[in-house]
This record gives sequence, structure tokens and C-alpha cells, in this order.
Amino acid sequence: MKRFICGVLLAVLCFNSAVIAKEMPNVSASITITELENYKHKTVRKHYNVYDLKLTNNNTRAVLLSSDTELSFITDYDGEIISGSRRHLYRKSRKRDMGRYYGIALPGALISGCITVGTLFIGSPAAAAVFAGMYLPTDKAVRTNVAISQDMFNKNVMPSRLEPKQTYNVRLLVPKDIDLNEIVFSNVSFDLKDMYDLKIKVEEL
Amino acid sequence: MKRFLLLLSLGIISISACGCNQYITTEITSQDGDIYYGAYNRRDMIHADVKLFQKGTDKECDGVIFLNAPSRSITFKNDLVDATMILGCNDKTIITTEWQLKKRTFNDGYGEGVDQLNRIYQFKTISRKEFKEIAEKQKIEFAKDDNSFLKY
Repeated sequence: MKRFICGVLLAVLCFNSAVIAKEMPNVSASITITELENYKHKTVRKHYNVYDLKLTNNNTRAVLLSSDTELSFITDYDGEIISGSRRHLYRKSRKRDMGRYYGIALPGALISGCITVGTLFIGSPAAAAVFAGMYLPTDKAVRTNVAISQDMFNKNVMPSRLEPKQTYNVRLLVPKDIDLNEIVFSNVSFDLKDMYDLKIKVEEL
Repeated sequence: MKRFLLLLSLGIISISACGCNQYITTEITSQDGDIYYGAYNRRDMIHADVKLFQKGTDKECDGVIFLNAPSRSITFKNDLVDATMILGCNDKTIITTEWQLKKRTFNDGYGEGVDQLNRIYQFKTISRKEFKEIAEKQKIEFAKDDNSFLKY
């Protein structure tokens, strides 16, 4: 029994570094909640709080993210919550744009088309109804989705490579109603071999 | 009338179920001599799911491609606009690609990608016939959210 316990202890000692991830050195960060004036998309705000993160790499080497990198939120009460991928966040918060109001629009178009042949006066109001019922809401949804996806994938995306001595603006979507304590990017490295955790403390929000 | 409606619905289903929207491949680059091939499938007006394989190896990637300025207007529909593609791979690399794609139809373009190690990938779109000549895996299944290589 003693020997077994000793063995377990030894194994824990030896593989300690492998089990507990090391913390990424020399990366500084500051974090702020984005105000309503700067981020207006209601479909996103319904599910998420929007945080702005400023990341600075103070190392002399570039910090590399990997495809194993996961973003998790450490909270006071709920423990650890793993964030969905950007793809998932976008899907959840976008406005539906394809197949919107087609139920109204297709018969509307048919009727208006038939009538336009006979009388122009009844046909054009019907066509206007189709425009208002189908084209306008779809167009609005597409424009909103472009703005959301630009924000998530183009302007404020987490870069896959943090160059030394450079600051990056990253926009994070954090689930609503959680007490956020710490944000952790797992599996961050210098060479894609030794993996570190990038931990960011959230203070007095 | 009933038979006509049945035929119409069958036709629509068969059109929507056959193949992908657009097939893509990479040109042979000096750094990485291998060819990548794949496809993307459009999900709404601006985004599509992507799957990419490396020829001759087990490397595969998946992710999303986003059109930055889609248009529903009839004019200038053949203009090329920016699109961003982010792919995660099973060898830990993330490939970020800037595409130039047709505004309205979301295809027919070219792009240049870079991964964390600054390797460069040249992408272009190809026809289904060309894809069949290149591809080892003819059937492409797109990843769901929980088994995607792009975790964040």
C-alpha cells in the first residue's frame, strides 16, 4: 500500500508540469465593457455582453494561437464556462435573412403579376407590398449581419499571431448574467509545441 | 396539378441536395509543395461553411468564409469584393485567408492565406469537373459546431 501511494505521489510530481498548464509570460491586457453607443446590434446584445480587450505582447518572440485554443470564462459561482466558437456566436446572434417572408412574398408576386397585366393601378400597389414585405426586411437583415460579422471576423478578431511589442484590439462576446472573474485562452505557444495558458484578470466591472 | 407540384418539389429538392456551392484548391507554392482541395457551402447571404483537405496526408481543416460587402443590387454584381476565410486545422495551424469573390454569386475568385508560422497559401476557385480530377475524397461533409477544428 505504502509503495503504491509513493508511486502515485512520484508520478504526480513527475507529470506535474504536463498536467497543469504554465502561464504565458509577458503578455499584458486591459479589458472594458463596450458602451451601447459603440455597439448597437440588438440581436447580439440579447444573448451576450460585449467586452473590448486590449492585448499587448511584451515578449521578444511572436505568440502563436493554435486551432486547439479555447476561450473560457472563470466565474465566481458557475465555475468555468467554455465559450462557443465565433462561428457559433455568429449563428446564434445573426438575423435570419434567407427565406424571410417568402410566404407573403411569393403569392403576392403571383397575384400582383397577374393583375399588372390587366390594370396597372392595382398591380403596382401589390408589387409595392411585396417590396415592403420581402425585400426591405431581408435587406435590413443582410446589412445588420454584415456589420456583426465584420465586427467578429474582420476588425476585432483574435489574431492567430501576436507580433512582439504590438497591441491588438479584440472584441469578446461573453454570455449574459455571469460574474466574470478571469478570462483564459488555453493552448497558446511560442512554437506550437510547449503550450501555455493566457490568463487575463477582470477587475471591478 | 398534383403531379406537377410533386415534380416541382422533387426538382427543387434534387437541385438543393446536389453538390457544393463552390470548389476550391491551392496552387503549388514553394514553401509547402502540397496541394489543398476543398469546397464551401453557402449558409446565408454572407457566410458559408468551408472544408479543406491536404492531398496525400491526413491534414484537414474547416471553418467559415465571410463576404465583407454583399450586394442584392442588379448592377455591379460581377464586381469582386473582399471576403475573409478562417480555417482551423488538425495540425494546430490556423489559416487566415483574404479572398476576392464575386459580389452577388459568392464565387469565382482567388485568395491568399497565411498561417501562424507565416506560410503562404494561394487559393483559387475551380469547377466541379476540375475538383473531381484533383480530389481524393469526393464526398465532403461539413463540420458541426461541436466537432469543428476551429474551437474559438
